[in-house]
Amino acid sequence: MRAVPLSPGPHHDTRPRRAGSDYVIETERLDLWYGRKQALRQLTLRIPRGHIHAIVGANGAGKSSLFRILLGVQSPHGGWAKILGHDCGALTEHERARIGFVNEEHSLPGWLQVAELVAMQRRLYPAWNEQRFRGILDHFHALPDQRIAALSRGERAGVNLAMALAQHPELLILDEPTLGLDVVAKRAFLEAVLGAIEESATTIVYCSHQMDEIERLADNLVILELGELKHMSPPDDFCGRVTAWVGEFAGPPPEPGTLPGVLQVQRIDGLWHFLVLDQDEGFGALLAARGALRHYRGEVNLDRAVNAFLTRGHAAPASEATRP
Amino acid sequence: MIDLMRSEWRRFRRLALIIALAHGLALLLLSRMVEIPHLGHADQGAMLALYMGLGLTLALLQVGSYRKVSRWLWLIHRPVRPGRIFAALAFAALAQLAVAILAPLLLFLVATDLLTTQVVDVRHYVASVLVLIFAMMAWLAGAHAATSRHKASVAVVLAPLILTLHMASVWSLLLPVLVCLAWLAFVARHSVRADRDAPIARTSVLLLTALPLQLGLFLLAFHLSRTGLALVDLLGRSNPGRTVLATDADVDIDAMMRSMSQDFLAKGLEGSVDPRAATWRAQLPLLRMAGLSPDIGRFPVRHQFGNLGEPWFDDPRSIQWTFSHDRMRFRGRHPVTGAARGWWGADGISASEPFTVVPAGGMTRSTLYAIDHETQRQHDLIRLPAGEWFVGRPVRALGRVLVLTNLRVLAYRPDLQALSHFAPYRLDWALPLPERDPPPIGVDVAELLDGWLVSLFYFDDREFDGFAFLTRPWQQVVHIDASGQASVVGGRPEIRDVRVRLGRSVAVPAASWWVSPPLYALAHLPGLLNTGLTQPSRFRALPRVPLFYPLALGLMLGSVAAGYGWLRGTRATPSRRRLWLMSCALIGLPAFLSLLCLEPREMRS
Repeated sequence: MRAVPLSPGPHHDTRPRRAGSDYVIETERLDLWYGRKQALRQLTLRIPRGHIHAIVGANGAGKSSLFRILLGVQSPHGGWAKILGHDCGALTEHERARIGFVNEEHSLPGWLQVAELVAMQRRLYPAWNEQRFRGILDHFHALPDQRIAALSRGERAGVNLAMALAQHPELLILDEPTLGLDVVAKRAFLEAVLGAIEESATTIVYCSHQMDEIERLADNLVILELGELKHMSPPDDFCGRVTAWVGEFAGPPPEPGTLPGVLQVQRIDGLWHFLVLDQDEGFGALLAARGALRHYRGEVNLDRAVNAFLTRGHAAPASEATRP
Repeated sequence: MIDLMRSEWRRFRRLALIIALAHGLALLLLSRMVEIPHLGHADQGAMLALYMGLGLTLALLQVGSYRKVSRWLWLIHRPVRPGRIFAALAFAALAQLAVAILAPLLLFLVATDLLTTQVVDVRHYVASVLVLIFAMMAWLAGAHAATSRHKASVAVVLAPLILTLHMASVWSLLLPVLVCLAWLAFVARHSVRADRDAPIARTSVLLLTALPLQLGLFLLAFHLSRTGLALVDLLGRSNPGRTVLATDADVDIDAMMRSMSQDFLAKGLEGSVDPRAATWRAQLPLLRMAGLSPDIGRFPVRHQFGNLGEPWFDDPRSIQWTFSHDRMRFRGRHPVTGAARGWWGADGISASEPFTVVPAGGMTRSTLYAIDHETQRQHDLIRLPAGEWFVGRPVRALGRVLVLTNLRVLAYRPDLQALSHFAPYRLDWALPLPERDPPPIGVDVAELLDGWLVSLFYFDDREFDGFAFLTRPWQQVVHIDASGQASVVGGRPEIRDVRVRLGRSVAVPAASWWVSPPLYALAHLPGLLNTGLTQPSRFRALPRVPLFYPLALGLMLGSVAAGYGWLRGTRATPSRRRLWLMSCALIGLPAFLSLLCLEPREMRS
């Protein structure tokens, strides 16, 4: 399948801004290499203050690399990055206090008890919100006298999130925080995030492969692909850009390359399903003109849209599938 | 910081306590067999290596566990400065090492001091603290390696070892050891930063980080190349495993050694123009011979770190005499029951006069004494004049006591006319050494009917470790007549038939001066601490071996070229590049190797 030329979404603003602007994250022409592999390519990204911003992308898209640069543990090979208006390579302890971070491993000191760890963090962060901590921890079942190492993955994730939110950060980065959690723990985690965002002004940057989570949480969707920014807009806008068309053809369907904006073509139960980008009703007319006996517009959810978007060019030209 | 320190303490406290318990039990068990405070320096060195290994292991477990990015973020991404984070880790480690190493040692020393008659001096307590500091240095080196982009950074630990690990007084070691500890702490502290892979920004930090690394790499290059050459030499031998043993029934070792000495002396006389030389050569197989060598490397110094002089035993009375550096006298105790048996001073038992210097093996630096076991008095047999000291053990042979000092070869004879058996020896003859620094490595003495023949064999095998074959071995043969007058009667200006170490590897000399002249000088600097040496460290800024100069120049140019090539792939600023290239030019290969460790290169397609 031919790659579809993409245009950034309505929130994709690459104009240079002064430091201290309303962006919590700003990057400009960011490059990063691992040996001979380029992880980030001229990545220019501006994430405004407030709301939940989801960053999605396939493995190797550069999400974790971006977070490493943003948190100052890795230097880019080109360009610059700022977080909360400060150079990422020179974050002071005061700036770090304003940034929360939760990763998928929930790396906490396993030798401490929950209460000891929390006491330590409480003393460390002057803006510690005990009420919020308790409120979030209630979603989980971690006991104060339990050792961190003895907690389940979900409980550890809960403690980690509760601590991160209780620090009252201006920006909270969540890097695949629900990875490996069961359904119950994941639900509790998401509720905690939603509850926290409602009662504070914390900006959340959320990275996940779980589109149902993104759909539920995110106000803004950022799609990275091979280290490049491919899309940035509210999820609904992105879903609006991707449309599904179903057609019935007596013979073979038209070659996808001859149709505009095709992301994915699948044959399901004898019908041809086209996922297309940035196409209006004219696409249906085009299908009719190209021999469709009948056609109609189908539903597209975010999961399907993002999946089609990220796998375009990788899928078979006309794969056969059966509707479950 | 306190919270993090507490957390890190809690993390390993159980392990520290278990190790402390095991350590205490091991000391207790060992003390049933040997007197730990008076173990030889080799055994104590092994113990120190074990303690340092413990420090290094702790660093790799503790700080190494944060190498993973997610764990590193947990540690570093907090509202605390990296310096305070490092301090928390370091103080927690210090507490753990103090519990695991220092506490059992101190407890053991106090118990030994209070409950037994063994000698425990202040130096033992101070040495325990030094041991803790060395273990902490190992921790710092391990922490530095764990937080650096290159694991070879652990080589920094070699620098403080070479600079401070010497058998000097514990008091004189304290300052250099603390300076080195501070230096390593500085290096390790600056490697704890958010971006561990980033090049070091400040020039001062870079210099102080690079120097110990370069010194460590220099020492590694030196020892690895020397070991490599020794292996090549060993593999090249036709019968490398063959060693003559004292138990070999078919080998008369004395006769073999005598024959070697006689052959050597005969060769020295081959070119002699003295008319008596032919006669002497003919007589040689029939002559009695004796050999001397500079086999005393050092004498103990007061409050020494490590032991040189071992306890001596008065078997008939069952007394073990152990020297106390605090009282400068020997303390006597029954070797089995431990019952106290009094003190031994400079004049003998119960003498209140302390020794002025620490004795070892029946002698001090300038005095050979004997003990009258009947009266238990001590008598000086030989007392050398000021400025002269023993470099070899006196040898009783040929009816004389032969002595090699830093200035002369001396032959003494017992004073047969004296009333006492312990009268001072009378000097028979003295032969001033033609070259005092260094002394000859072998002295052969043959007794003639009308005098003595003395062969002095000079072979500088220490000036450049691993380069013995590049200095010329030479021999001088001296005749001493019956009146004690010496005259040179033969010799060889350059000996080519002596098999010397690494003799086949002249074309590939071991790494030394030519690898880095400044680091060679720096590595010799701590020789100043070694006041007990009989042959003081003889540092030469410029070697006499011509081959070294083109080698040094070639390596310097090669390092600069390689450094230039490496820097092209980095983002170093022009001033930083100039600094590195100057460093490569001045310090050579170790500077280039440290450049590989400290200046990341960016790989791009």
